[in-house]
Amino acid sequence: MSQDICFRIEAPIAPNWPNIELLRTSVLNCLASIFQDSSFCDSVSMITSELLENAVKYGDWDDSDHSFFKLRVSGGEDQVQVHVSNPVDAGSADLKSLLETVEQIGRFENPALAYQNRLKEIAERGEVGVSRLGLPRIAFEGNCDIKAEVVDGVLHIRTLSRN
Amino acid sequence: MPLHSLVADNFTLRVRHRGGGPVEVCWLGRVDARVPSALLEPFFAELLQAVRELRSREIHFRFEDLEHFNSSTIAALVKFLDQALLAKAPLVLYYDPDKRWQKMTFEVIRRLGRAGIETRPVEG
Repeated sequence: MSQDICFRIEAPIAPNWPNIELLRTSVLNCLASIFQDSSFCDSVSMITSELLENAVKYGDWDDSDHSFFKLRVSGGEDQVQVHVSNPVDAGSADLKSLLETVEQIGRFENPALAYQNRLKEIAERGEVGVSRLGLPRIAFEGNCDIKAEVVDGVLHIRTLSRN
Repeated sequence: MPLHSLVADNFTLRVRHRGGGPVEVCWLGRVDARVPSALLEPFFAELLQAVRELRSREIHFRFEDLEHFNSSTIAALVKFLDQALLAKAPLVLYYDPDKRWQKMTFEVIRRLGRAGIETRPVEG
């Protein structure tokens, strides 16, 4: 990482849907003031919104401390990390599915194939409701690695995008 | 059946049709609803019904001025591809190749190889 540019955005979030767009555009505008490449800024802001959508949809918001819901975007000239943490129900099917999706993406030769495969499944099965497309989209469009872990009832998802 | 545009909180699907030509749907704004299919599926059903009653059956979706859509919207769109195919309504998806996110999305959709579905970059 370059020593010339170094930034960090960190925000505790209330798990409300309208906040996602507020943060997506905030991250987009912040990065646009740092990076010349608007496509890269679009990409990181997309990653931010997809991760926040997952957190709001699948987080445990009934019996948990909402202060664990946080967005952190940090990096430098060469790379940007997006880190979203949120409380989860460790036994939930949604969490299991999310962790499986991260693993599945890694099993494909490249993220494009993982994304294309998921789109094919959606088209062919005509599934309604949950799309499970956000993480494959992040890996493909964001050209980034995704890591997920659960620590003490909090899910941490980190992506690393290279500029 | 008359063709109606869809106006939602953050986005508009503006429908245009001139006799004999394709039915054009311009996607404008940000499609970022939590469950976009709840809005899009009734619109798509009405669109296909209306197109069946018109002499020209081709549908053009124009995305080039769209600001943002979430993955749930992409999923709803991909499901619609097969519905258009079943309805024998050729579908053309226009996108802005200068927006990398649009280029990447629509190139992958093209690679799905659905018959009757064409993706077309809008140059300049």
